[in-house]
Amino acid sequence: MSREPLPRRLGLVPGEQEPSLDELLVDVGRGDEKAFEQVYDQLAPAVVGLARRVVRDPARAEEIAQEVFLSVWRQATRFEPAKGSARTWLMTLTHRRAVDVVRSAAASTRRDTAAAAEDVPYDSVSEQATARIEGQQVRQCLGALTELQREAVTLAYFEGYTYPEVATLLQANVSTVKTRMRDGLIRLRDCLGGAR
Amino acid sequence: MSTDVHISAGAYALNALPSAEAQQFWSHLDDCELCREEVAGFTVTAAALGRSVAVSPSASLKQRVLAAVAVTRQLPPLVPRAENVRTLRRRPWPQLLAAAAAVTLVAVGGVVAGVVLDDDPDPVAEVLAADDLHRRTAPVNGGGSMTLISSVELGRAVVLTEDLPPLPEDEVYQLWLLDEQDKVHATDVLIGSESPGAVLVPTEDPDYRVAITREPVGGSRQPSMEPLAVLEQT
Repeated sequence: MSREPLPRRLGLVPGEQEPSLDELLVDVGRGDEKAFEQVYDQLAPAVVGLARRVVRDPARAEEIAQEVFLSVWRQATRFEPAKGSARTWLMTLTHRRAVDVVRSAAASTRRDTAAAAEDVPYDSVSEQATARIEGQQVRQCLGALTELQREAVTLAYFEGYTYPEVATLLQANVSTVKTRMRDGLIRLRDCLGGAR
Repeated sequence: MSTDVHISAGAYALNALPSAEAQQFWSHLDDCELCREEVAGFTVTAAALGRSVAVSPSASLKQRVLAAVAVTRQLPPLVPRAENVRTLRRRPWPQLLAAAAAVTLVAVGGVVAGVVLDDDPDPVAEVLAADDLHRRTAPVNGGGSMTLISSVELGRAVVLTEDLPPLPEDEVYQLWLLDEQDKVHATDVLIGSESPGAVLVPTEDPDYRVAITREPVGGSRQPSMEPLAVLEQT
């Protein structure tokens, strides 16, 4: 069975190990649309899910996802796996964009802050989490935080609030909330281990 | 104080710092390796949170994305420079500003963005040589300043930026026009680390004000934040 090792770009030949997302994104940087499609297939659920979780409007969430993926396509030429994984990069882009959208919407119409806080129980993270192992792990780790840590982290991340806004919602001191966000992330990070 | 800044790493990774504070913290990252490491770790953690709420996207989204990709050119790769990749290129603006203020620019024959003004139809130079120059400067929230030199007659303005804090690789400064009702009109004018300090803004209406924000690379259709500075033309 002395098969010639195939170049990595033909990584989908049966039997050959599939290229990692990072490797795929490097290929995307060289203009490989097929590789891009694989990146899309693997990460679109997470990108759309996060965008929807933050902005709530499914149509707007898809717009954000489209912007994110287009931006990934354009910037893949500058992707450096050593500086961070493809998965983390896409989630970071998505979150920033989603937060930008809710903030600029909030700036023009300071309306549904209260409503949003009301119709989403703070622990709805667990309800929306997928059944995937990682989702379970995240839930478990969130459960290991103190209540204030968990609320500080999830209100900021999933609702897109700034820490002073979170402090207002939790009726807590702003610098306490800021500190809890950091404590909470440290505990989550340690709990989740080395998952990239 | 430094502990205070350090505490922000968590809120920063969650995108939960108000914009001015986020910029401050970002500048602080330059000098704080510990903070950079912590932020990198937190970013991975935050991304894991994000992946925990995955849903099935619609099939039409994939079609739209792939169709858009097929007609979109990729950015050229960044060729590593020896150092200071993050440092904005500087030009000797102080002399230029002084010249513009005195409207003696043409006589001075100065160099603007590498373009010699004499006999040059360069649109930037035209504005700077216009008879009806107005010039205003304002500090930019987060650091640096922005100067607007406009000519109502030409319907064009030149924006000079100075000492703007460098941005992460995936962000640029973007200019916007605000009309009398504060309605925002996007411009394509993006100011990144590679851009010359002077950029041209088509203003049309002399009542339009010019604003600047930070945006993701490629620019946005709507500003993602409150303006860092707003300047009137006249």
